[in-house]
Formats: sequence, structure tokens, C-alpha cells
Amino acid sequence: MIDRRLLTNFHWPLLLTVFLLIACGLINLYSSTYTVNISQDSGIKSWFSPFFLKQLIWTIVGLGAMVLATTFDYRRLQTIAPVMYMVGIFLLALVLVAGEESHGAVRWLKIGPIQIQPSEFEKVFLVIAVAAWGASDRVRLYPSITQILVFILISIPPFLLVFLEPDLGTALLLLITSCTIIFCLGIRWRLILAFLILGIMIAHPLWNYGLKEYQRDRIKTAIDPDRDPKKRGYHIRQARIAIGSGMLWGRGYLQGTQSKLRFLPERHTDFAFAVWAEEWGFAGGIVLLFLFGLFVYFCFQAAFLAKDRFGSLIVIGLSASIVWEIVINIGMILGFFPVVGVPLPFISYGGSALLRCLVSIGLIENVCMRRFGSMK
Amino acid sequence: MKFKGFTVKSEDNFVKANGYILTAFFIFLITLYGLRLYYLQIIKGDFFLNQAENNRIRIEPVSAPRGIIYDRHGTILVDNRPAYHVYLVREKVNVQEVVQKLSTFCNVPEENLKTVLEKNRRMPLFKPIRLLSDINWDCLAKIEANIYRLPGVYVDVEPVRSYRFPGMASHILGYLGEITEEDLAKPEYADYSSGDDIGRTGIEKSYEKVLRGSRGIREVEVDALGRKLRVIDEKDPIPGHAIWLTIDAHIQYKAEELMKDLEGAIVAIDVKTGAVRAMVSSPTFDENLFVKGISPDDWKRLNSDPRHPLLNRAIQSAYPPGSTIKPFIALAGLQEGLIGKTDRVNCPGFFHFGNRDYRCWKKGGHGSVDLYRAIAESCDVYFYSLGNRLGITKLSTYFKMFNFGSLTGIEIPGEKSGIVPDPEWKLRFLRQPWHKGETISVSIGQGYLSVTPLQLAVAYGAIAGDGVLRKPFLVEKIEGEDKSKSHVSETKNIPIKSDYIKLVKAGLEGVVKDPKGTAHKIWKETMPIAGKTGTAQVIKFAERVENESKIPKQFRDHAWFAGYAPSSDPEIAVVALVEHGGHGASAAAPIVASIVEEYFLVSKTKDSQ
Repeated sequence: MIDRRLLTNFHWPLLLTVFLLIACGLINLYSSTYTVNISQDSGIKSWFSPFFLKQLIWTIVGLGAMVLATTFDYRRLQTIAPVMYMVGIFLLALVLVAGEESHGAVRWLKIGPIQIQPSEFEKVFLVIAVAAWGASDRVRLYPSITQILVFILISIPPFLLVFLEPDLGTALLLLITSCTIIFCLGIRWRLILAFLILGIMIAHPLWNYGLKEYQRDRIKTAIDPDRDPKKRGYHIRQARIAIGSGMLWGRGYLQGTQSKLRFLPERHTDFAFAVWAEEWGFAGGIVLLFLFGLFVYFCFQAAFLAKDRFGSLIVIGLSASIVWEIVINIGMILGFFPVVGVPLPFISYGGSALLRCLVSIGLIENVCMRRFGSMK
Repeated sequence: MKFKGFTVKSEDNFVKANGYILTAFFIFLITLYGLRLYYLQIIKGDFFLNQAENNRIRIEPVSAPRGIIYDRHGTILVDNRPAYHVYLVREKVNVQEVVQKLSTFCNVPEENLKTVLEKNRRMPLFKPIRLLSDINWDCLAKIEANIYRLPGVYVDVEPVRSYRFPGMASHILGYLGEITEEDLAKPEYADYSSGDDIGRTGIEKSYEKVLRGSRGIREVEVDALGRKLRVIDEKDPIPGHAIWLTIDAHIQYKAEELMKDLEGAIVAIDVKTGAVRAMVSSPTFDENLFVKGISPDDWKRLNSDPRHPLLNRAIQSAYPPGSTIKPFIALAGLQEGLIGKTDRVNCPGFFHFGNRDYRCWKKGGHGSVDLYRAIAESCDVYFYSLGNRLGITKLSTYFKMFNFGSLTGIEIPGEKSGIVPDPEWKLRFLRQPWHKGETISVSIGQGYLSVTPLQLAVAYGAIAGDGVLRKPFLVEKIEGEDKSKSHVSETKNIPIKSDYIKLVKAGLEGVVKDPKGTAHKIWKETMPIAGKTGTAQVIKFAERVENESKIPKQFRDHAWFAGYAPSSDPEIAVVALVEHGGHGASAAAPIVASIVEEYFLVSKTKDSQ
């Protein structure tokens, strides 16, 4: 199945970039959970925190899944896209019915000892579904209004289901991702404007009358986890102190006082970048940003190289879902965006997210590998 | 599909221009982030590094108010009041100057403050040190008014224990003390930290877990001078659970009044349940002394007091029971078939055994006595003879039936078991064989035999309750706990025929009712008490002088009275012990009578409410 031509077309620089990012992520996770480990004094002190070990296992699982995702011809996905879409919807619905609650939101499904976050995998399923729709014969560049309505019909159910968990960050990310695909498929500016106006007109009454008070509360909390007035702004201020105090060369690995003394909240998840910037300074921060820049470049290069529309749209969608997370997360930490619970791909702790990112990379490589496949 | 080539040519996979726009947008954002990093880390780096170094979040424990302790009717015995403590953060502060000012404001010698600082000198500078505890209003007002001239100083409030009736029931309630370093190291005290109070004795100790509640936590952002900038996060403390004691504050108060200038103990137990209605040990102490951390002077005074105020005589001291043991010996004799109701013993005033005469307390002797008279008039010779016939092994078996020699299991710590001697015990602890003459001493409650006042009250409760021995208890109810669970009183049926118990009860009734009874002085038609006097020898019989008042106090006998009322259908069993009080009839019996009187007064008024 895998012939030599496939390997020559493999996008090695992209893979290398991803490996470097994962390495940075693990190094950083080790440091950010270092104190978590020691502070749990009652247990046994081990060299690795449970977080680190878990993430290591997920990395290995993820790499395996990535390899698997390259083995078949991606065009087969177009035929099974509706099935994948339904499976995604089913899993999201299942979360609402039988999910594990934590911090006031139901996001996880527990399967034996592991917890998975179906909304993460929906990011892949939805991209494939939208790409399959965009690549179907009826749809042309600059699709008509009716076609766009179909697209909206595809995108809304997953959005709503995730929105109800409530996980507004992820829900919006799903929406932005499919909008990015539409954007690349071509959309007139006046249409964008019209949809924006329509969106506001729908959202306002929905917010006021469609939702109950507690639902609004949950959503508000999802948007701004620090609604507690005592904590308002605290996260961001501490993150800024952490980053700033890193100066040029950083405070040294495992030496960051902000993170070690636990001033910095969510050190190993949403605020992982701040830990990195504190310990490795401007130099380390720039290196990481540069890697992310390379990642963006290679991903979109792959989109341009793809041999058919389905392939291009898949690559655009999957890349967009990861890249948006990157720019939103770092933008939030640097104070450009309000605090939204979006993790930093490859760097933040989180098994489902890493697995989904690696599967996405596998699919992007899949498209890349087969760019000359049957077009002789 | 033949047009496919054509389609591809005329239409791209996607709008390339938009693809470029998107890529450029992302790269632009990432570059922007790079610039932001440059601004934060290179341009403002020093500023933030400084902030990071001054970043101080103080995690302050918020003490939970300890559970309130009530008496059985809901009278508050112990609750909490606010106490103001003064703390100092030494970082960047002229400590000398602050100490000087505080010393003048609060009228405390500078040396005291310096001692505290010296003790904590190894603590990190940014950690607050408690300089003054529980300051008075005057001092508080001066500090608050001058707070800006006292850098690093702040005042915090904490609930502290307040014993509403100082000295009352202090042995039951117990007191608090700062947790020791050794205790802190133990896993069961994992959630305590240095400086925390912990119950040291009494209910405060044994119900520590219930009363303590759990501490809240406040995360406070502070500036470099240790002043609070804002509260970042707060977890409210959970107050401790309240406890309702079985103690009746009225009876307890009355009992304490009666014992005021005496040394000794009083125990009153509800015969029907085993609930302890009063438990007094005299002299007592003021638990409030311990609240701020007891001062070395007070501690020394309490500890070196020859009257041992900290000792709970009701459970921690065992005394020879004297004649109060006689009813149990009578029961043993009846059950063993050695005596009957009408069997008589002649008392010439002494009992000859071996080559010694054991004297009866009544010089001329009682003449021919039956069981009733032997108890009512407390004839020693009758019991010498009976004890001798029973033998020490039988005696000790019966004593143990009534729980003598073992702990009653009362909820407060430090209980003593007393001694029920037998040959085996003597061999083990004194490495000497048992002499038969010692059995004779034991027969009138002397010798090695010793009991605590609580044990005696429980045993008399068992007689009053027709052979049902009830485990005594002090805690009626715990807040948040199922009532049925909190009290299933533990009972034990004593294997003695109830007819025999009735015979003995008749004798006990005679002690008070019969004009010849040893405690007839307390007889009142309206308040029928049954009971037994007792006199426990402190020095040997032979060395005694006739006139009681001529003996130095510390050599005088201990006076006992153990009884119950009403004699027909007993409700309450009361034991009074007066150390060196002389005769039970004159020193202890009137005390019991007053308590019984108070009991009926209280129960009548409470019932009518």
C-alpha cells in the first residue's frame, strides 16, 4: 500500500516541526507540574508527576494514531463523512446525557480508566464533513446562498451540543473552523456582513429569552471563568508578571517563581505558554513562536499542494482548527483576548487534545503524500 | 467524469487569494505576539521581575468557630467570642521602632515582644508573626488609630473559646492548648498547623473532631510591607458541631456550690438511662485561663497547688470506698446463699480473727444484727464475718460484676480503673502472698480496694435500677447526628436475684429512714433518699484519736455518701466524696441530700414548662 512515492511526498518539515513542538510541550509540562507533584506530599514523591506520565502515554498513543491516519487513501473519507458526522453528533449527545461533570461543565466521557473529550474529536469530524460537502460536485467556488445554508445546517448541531456542555470556547472554535473552510471556498464580503448582522439579531433574543438563568450563568462562566469579582483580572496579571520576569534568557528551567510558587493559575493547561516564557525568557518565547509560524506555513503549503478540493479543504480545516487555538491561546495570555478556556496545541496538558492534533497531522500528511497519487 | 480535467483547470481547489490572506493573517498575529513578548520581557522585563519578586500571596487560615457546648436544657456552657491578635511582617520594617510603639500602645514590656520575635527569628521575613494575642479594647483602638505609623503590623480577629461559667464543670468540659510539635508530626493531625488549639482534656479533647469544624482559607494578595491589598479567594470555614451534654447546669451549679471550700467529688447519674447529670471535682479551675495560651505563672500556680485543681477527682482518683461497699458484699452473700434475710450475727464491738481484733466503728458493738440492721447501722462485724466467709476471690468476682476495677467508659479522657484486689493481683503487683486478714479489711471497703466516685455512682445506679448496670455517658446529642444513633445506652444485667436486691435496698432505705440509721439526719418525708454512708481511712485504725477535730486535716478520713432517690422508684443516683471530711454521715450525706433536693426542684420546674 505504501510505496516509495508516498514517502517522497511526505511532508517531513511539518513532521519535524510537530515533533519539536511536542518536545517543548513535554519539557514544559514537566516543569509546570513539578510543584504539583511535590505539594501532594501525602503520597509518594516520584520523579514524574502523574500529569507528565499521562501525557507521555498519550503522546505515544497519538503518534501511533498519526501513523494510522496516513495509511489509507484520504478520499475514502469523503464517502464515510456522513457516518463520521453522525458518530460525532452521537458522542456529543452522549456527553450531555452521561458525561462526567467537572467545574460546572460536562465535557468528558469516562471509558474505564480513561476520560475522553468528544468535543476535541468533533473538531476532526466536523472538518471532514464540511470538506466533503465543499468538495461535492454541486458546490462550486463562491457557493450560492442555498449551498451556504446547507453548510450552516451541517455546522450548527455540533456547535449547539458543545455550547450546551457548556464549553463556549470549543463551540466557537468549531464554528470558526468551518467558517474558515467557507472563507477559503470563497464568500462575498457583503454576505459576510449580512451574516454578521443576522447573527447578532438571532443571538440577542436567544440569549435573553431562549435560555434560563442558570444556563446563562454557566455560559458566562465558560466565557469568563473569573467572574468572581475577587479573581477578576488576576490570572492575566499574574501571567503577565510571569512572562515579563522571564526577560531575555528566562529564569531558568524549573526556576520560574511565578509558576513554582503557584501564583500562576492553570499552569499546565491554559497558561502553559506563560510558564514557558517565564523559564526560557524572550529567547525561548521567540523560538516557540517561530515553530508555530513554521507550523502555519507548512500546513497552508500542504493545502496549496493538495491535488483535489477535498484534500485542500481537509488540510485547511484541520490546520485552521489547530492554528486558531494557537493564536487565541497565546493572544489571551498576552492580553489581546479575554480569558477563554482554550488550550495551546502540543504544549498544554490534555490527552484528547493531543491525540486529536496528532490525528489531524496524520491526515494532513495523508493528503500531502498522495498529491500525485492517481493524477498521472 | 470526462469533464473532470476541464473542471479542475477552470476552477481551483479553493480561492487561493483567501488562502494567502489567511496565512498572512496568522503569520501577522504570531509576529505581533513576538513584538508583545519583546515589550513585556525586554522593555518592561525589569519591572515585571521586580513585581515577581515582590509578589506575595499570603494564604491565611480562617479559624472555624468551635462547636458550642450546651447542657441538657440548652444552656450554653461554652461558646466563642472574638479575639484580636496583632501580627507583624518583619520584611522591610524597622522592627525595633514598631516594637517600641506597640509596647507603649498596649502597655506590654518590650522584652515580651522581643522574646516572641526571638522565638520566631528563623521564620521567613514575609511570614506574619503573632506578636500579641487577644488584646484588649484600649490597645486595639490605639493600634487601629495609629496603623499607618506601624508598618508591617496588622490586626486579625479570631473566634476563641469562652467558658460562660468560669470554673463550672471545668473538668468535664476540659480546656484547649496549642498543639505540640510531636502531635503535629502525627498523621491524624495532618490538617492542623502550628499555633492551632487542640482539646487537651475533657469533652474538648475527646470530641475534638466534632467540635473543631474545618478551617477556611483566605488567599490574600499583600504588598511588600505585608499589608493586605485584596482578597483573591476565600473558602469559608465550616463551624464545628454543637454538643449537648447530659449535664444539668442547675444541678451542676448547686453541686459546685456545695463543694466550694472542700476537696472531693460529686457524681449524679440518671438511674433510668445512665446519663450523668452532674459531675464535680473540687477544687476547680477557670478554663478561660487556658484560652489565650496559659501564662507560665498561672500554669505553675495550678500545677503546684497542693489541692490539685486540675485533677478530676470524679474519675481520675480512686479512693477506698469504706462502708459504701457493704451493700455489694451483702448481695454477694445473699446470692452465694451464705446469709439470709433473718440470719443474725452478734456484734460485740470487735471481730476476732487470727491473733487480732478487728474493731467495729461502734465501740460497744451493735449486739445481734440481721441484714437490715447491718446495712442501716453499718455494722462492721457483720461484714467482717461475711467477707471472711466469702473469701477474697468471691468478693472480687462480685465487685467486678458491678464494674469496679474497670473503666466505666465515660467519654472524657484520663479515667482510672481503681483496684479490685485478689491474691493474683497482689502477687503480680506487690510480689507478696495474700493474707486472710486483708480480706477482712476489704469487707469494709478498706485495704487495697479503691474505687472512683463515678464507679460508685454507676454501681449504686445498678442497685437502684434493680440489677441493670448502665454505662454512664455525658454527651446527649451531637449536632448533625442521628439522635437514635447518638444514644443507645449500654446496659448489662447483673446476675443477682432481684429479691436479694430488694432486701439490700430495704437496708439502704433504712440508713436514712430508720431512726437508728447512720444518715437519719438527712431524712425527709417529702424526699425519700436511700443510700449508704462511708468513711475511708487515711491512717491506720489503731492510731486514731477519739476526737475527730484534734486530728490534723490531712490525716482525717474521707467521707462518702452514695445513694439514690426517690427510694421507691429511683430516678437519680448521687455519690459525694469529701476528702478528709471525717464522717460520711456528717460531711457527705447532707451534700447528697441538697443535690437530690435541687434535682426534684429542677425536674419539677422543667416538667411544668
